[in-house]
Amino acid sequence: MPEMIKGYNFAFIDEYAKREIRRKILKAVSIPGYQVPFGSRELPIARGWGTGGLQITLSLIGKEDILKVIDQGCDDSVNAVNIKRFIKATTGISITADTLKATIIQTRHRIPEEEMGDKQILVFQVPYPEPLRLVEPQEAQTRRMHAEMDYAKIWVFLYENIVKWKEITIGARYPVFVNGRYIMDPSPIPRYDVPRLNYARTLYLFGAGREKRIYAVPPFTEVKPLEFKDHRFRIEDFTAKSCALCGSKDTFLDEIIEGDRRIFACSDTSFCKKRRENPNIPKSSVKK
Amino acid sequence: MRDWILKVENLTKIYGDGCPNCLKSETNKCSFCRATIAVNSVSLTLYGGEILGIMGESGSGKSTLVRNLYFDIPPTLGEAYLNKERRNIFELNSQEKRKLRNFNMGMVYQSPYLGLNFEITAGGNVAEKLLMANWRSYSNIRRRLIDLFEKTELPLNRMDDFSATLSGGMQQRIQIAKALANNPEILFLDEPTSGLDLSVQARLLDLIKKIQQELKISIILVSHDLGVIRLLAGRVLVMREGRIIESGLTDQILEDPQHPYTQLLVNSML
Amino acid sequence: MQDIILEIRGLSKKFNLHLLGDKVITAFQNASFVLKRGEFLGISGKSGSGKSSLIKCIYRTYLPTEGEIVYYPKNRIPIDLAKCLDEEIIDLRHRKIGYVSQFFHAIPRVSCLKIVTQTLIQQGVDKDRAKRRAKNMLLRLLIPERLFDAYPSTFSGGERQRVNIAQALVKKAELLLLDEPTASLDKTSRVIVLGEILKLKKKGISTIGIFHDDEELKRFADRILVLEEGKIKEIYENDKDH
Repeated sequence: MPEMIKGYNFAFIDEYAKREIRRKILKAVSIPGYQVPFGSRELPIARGWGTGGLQITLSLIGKEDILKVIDQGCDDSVNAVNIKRFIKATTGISITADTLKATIIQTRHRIPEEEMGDKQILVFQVPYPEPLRLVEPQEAQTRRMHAEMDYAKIWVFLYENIVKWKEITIGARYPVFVNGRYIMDPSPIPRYDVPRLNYARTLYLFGAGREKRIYAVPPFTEVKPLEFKDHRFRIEDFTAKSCALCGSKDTFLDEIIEGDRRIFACSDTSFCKKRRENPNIPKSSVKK
Repeated sequence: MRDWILKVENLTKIYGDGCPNCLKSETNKCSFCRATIAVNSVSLTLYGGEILGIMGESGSGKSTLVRNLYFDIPPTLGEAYLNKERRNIFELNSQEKRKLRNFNMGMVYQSPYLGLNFEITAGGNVAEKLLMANWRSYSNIRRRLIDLFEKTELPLNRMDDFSATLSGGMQQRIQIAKALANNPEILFLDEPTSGLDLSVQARLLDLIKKIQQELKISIILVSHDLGVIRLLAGRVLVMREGRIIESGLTDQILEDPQHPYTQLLVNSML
Repeated sequence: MQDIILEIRGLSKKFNLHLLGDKVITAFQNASFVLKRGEFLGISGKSGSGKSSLIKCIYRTYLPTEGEIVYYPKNRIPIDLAKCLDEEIIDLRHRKIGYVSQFFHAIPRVSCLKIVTQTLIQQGVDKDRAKRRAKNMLLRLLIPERLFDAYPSTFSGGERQRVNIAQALVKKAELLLLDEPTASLDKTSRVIVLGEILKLKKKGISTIGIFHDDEELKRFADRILVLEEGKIKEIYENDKDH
């Protein structure tokens, strides 16, 4: 990996940009689940490739930080690797694959399996920040709906789901109710990860670069998936399945098709590696 | 005597800039500033458990009037008071207005396209009101839907069909079921039977009468059809060019109309 | 001195027919009289003398042009029916004033039982009792049970009129206004209807009635008011046999 590139500001974007983004992050943290508009800067990465999450990371990162970047749980995917290269080239900071060692973790579409602590920040890359876009195409209307807490339309959508399919059919991007006030899109994480948002010890920040929105779930915030009392939220069912590489029965598994074989393997590659070395390692080693 | 449920004072709706002469205009177009005075200084009282008819021809302002009261269209001037609410309801913030709209009022539009969402099922349209009132149990919602469908004589086996697939008469009944979902005190009916076949119209009107007698709900019924008014309303307001030109008991308006325009209308009954 | 239930002062009714070039037709003018509580005041006069219009003014189907109609309900404040609010009239019509019109406008698609039951429910009677009393009254007026669920729009003139009378009599109103109630009835029905009216009179209900048959009028009325060309000609005490 190249060392720091000369001629650029630390972490590439200028200090004024960082100031604005930090202010917007503060506002987002003050109003959990509320989408704060921000001036999304031009980056040498195209829109749709994580520029939102990236801008949050660049605004917060300092010389002492240790960075982890994953894409669908994997540290080594092209997207994750490029982002890490870019950040290292403009900051010189250390990179790790170990969830417990990182201070900032930028992720695309997954929450790491291991429980994180209160000194870590998880930054989500968000493609579509608006959970109500499913039922309302107009931005002016969705803003009004959030402002007036008029969420009837999305509830009707869920009702219609149950009428047609006997259950709610939303997979990733499952809408959640944050702090009893805003409905939020948790980004395309699987249902499996949604319960991790509730009363977490870690600060969760969400950045949508193309859509120009930042939102946040501060630690110990109530985050509940939308559900009916008699049709409750369910996570993916992995009973009778385990990881082909490490044998774990309690992680989110990807389905891999190799030729005519179908195998399941841990989505979180770094944790899978840890489990291969020590199958009994728990997910939670954070002192309570 | 029964208490009043709704009191409206000098309700006015002007489209356009308006000028000090607008309210004095004899027609609904101001000759000074070309503004349209759709509703001109209308005052009325709605008592508990009654059906108040608003009769007028096209352009009389009757639909605009109820849409003002239902918060669809903001009025230019005037006040309205709901029995429980001490303040002018037009001065409430949008949250409070929405609350009144959801819980205290129901509306049936002339066209089902205004009142229904055609992309969801018939039951879904009615459920929307319940979900707005924070019903979170699917089975409770279904039970209430069955109850409302039965009340409005809608076939239960159409509950999960898309609203577009039901007949005009049924669509109006879905609107009624939706309007009644949260047990409102006031029901606004804006020409609910326009364009429907005669037998369908009769059934719908009989249903409205039945519901009113059972639930003792107060209704404002807008219609250009004197027959509809005669069948349902106890009192009538006659509107023309945005103003109320006569008001009285239904039988008195029909048998002893005073204003020349009212006499013309009554004489024009088929 | 008997107390008064209704006091009419200077009552006039003129129709202004705007569509006929503002032609004014006077139904009656300057009518003044009283109705004592429990009394039966009969109104007689030739056709066109203003009898129906007078009754319709009291019931407010016609808007009086001039004058007062002061109603003294038992134990309540007096109210001028000519000037009070529409809403107050509706309330009085439900609870205190009964009316039998000359021609019954049959409300379509409502059974005769429902029509009569509904008037009681509007008076505040509970559903079951209202239904029972309605059935009773219809039977007494010789409407058979098999017609209870039928629509009066399909009935004969006489049957329709009896339903009309039933809805007025069942109410046990304080004030009863009758406009030729027996006009389209056969002899048997007429006798029965008159019997029911007499029963009410004995209960102390005050009545103003127009009767087609002078003989019938003379049987019931305590006093008779004679209208001629829109003016009261005379009011005299009636010498009855019973």
